[in-house]
Amino acid sequence: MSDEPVSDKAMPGKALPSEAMPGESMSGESMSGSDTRPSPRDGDKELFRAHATARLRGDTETALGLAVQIGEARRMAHLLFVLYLFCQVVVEEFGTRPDPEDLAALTKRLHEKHYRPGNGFCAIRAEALVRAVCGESLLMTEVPVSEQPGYMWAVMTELVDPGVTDGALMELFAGAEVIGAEVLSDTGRAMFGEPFGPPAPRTEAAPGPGSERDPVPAEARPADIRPAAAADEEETE
Amino acid sequence: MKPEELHHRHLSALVTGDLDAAASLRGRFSPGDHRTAVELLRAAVAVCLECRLGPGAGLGAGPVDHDALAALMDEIRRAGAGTEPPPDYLAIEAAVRSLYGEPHLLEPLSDQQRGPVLYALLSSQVARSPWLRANPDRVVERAKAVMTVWLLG
Repeated sequence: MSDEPVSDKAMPGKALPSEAMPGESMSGESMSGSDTRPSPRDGDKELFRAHATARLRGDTETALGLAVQIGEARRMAHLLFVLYLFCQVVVEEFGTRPDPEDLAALTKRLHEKHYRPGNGFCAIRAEALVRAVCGESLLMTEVPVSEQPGYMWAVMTELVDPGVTDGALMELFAGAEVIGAEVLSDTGRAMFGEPFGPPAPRTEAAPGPGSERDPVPAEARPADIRPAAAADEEETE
Repeated sequence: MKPEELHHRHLSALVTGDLDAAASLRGRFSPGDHRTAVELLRAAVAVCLECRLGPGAGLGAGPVDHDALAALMDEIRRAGAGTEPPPDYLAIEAAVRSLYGEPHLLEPLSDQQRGPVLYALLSSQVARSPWLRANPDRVVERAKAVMTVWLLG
């Protein structure tokens, strides 16, 4: 686990400026100084959380509607959101060294719950994703990517009680964001020698136009942390 | 050739790695023989795995020794590195564990999918053990005995 301070702005979506609508340049958006709406990506976060809430509480109809809203353009960001939430749920349940017998029991429950002849549900793939989170990261490459969200939801809906409280959900989401920020910073360090979305001191950079679309009030976060999104934009402009 | 002899020779060819002979023997299978051949192959895998993972494979043993399983899977992944398309290692693990108290893990795999998975396991164990390769008839006889228990209980 990293010791760096993490900003809740270092969400996976922040690393994906390509999620802007075609023809909508990020800098163009940030130049419109009077625009105080939350950034589209912040809306994504609420959408992802609403969808996850509906799924974890078993509200299939709402979840389906929200899944349609999430759509194709946000699929990559959503995939990462689901992955980080999955990590949080798994670590909370099993820690980082799960007992193989506990995993086998989970796998058997998932098989009995979801497998029907011909539907292709391989419970061992769900188990593999759990183990991937707990140190066997190789296994993440052995489950087809297109199947991963389905197996992650199967595990999460098995481990999270449908009556989960709002407070417990908020804790899960917050934990998922911390994990996401750590993954991104570790990945950035591995690939480029420096973390993605560095929480650089605000004073080091001139107050760029990007700060005006920052939806989080300054007092709501530590003074030395500024949105990773703004830092990303300045690097690429 | 009687079905029993056909299956004996087919499995024996798989043990010795004579895949051409095995394929030509499969050409003489009647429809129900494919399923029988896959079950007999699974019994042979159980026989071969007993030296690695402990006795009673497919006959009530379990749970699997997880360290021994991890070592086995590590060995199989190394042997398969660079193969395109890559073997379905999770299916291979499922096949192993299905013989050690988790039979449900094999349910999602059709007979057609089981064949290559089980053969991968058989050949990995034969590659490690010259005795198995030198004594295919003994392996087949043991496999038949295991399968008899499966069929008759």
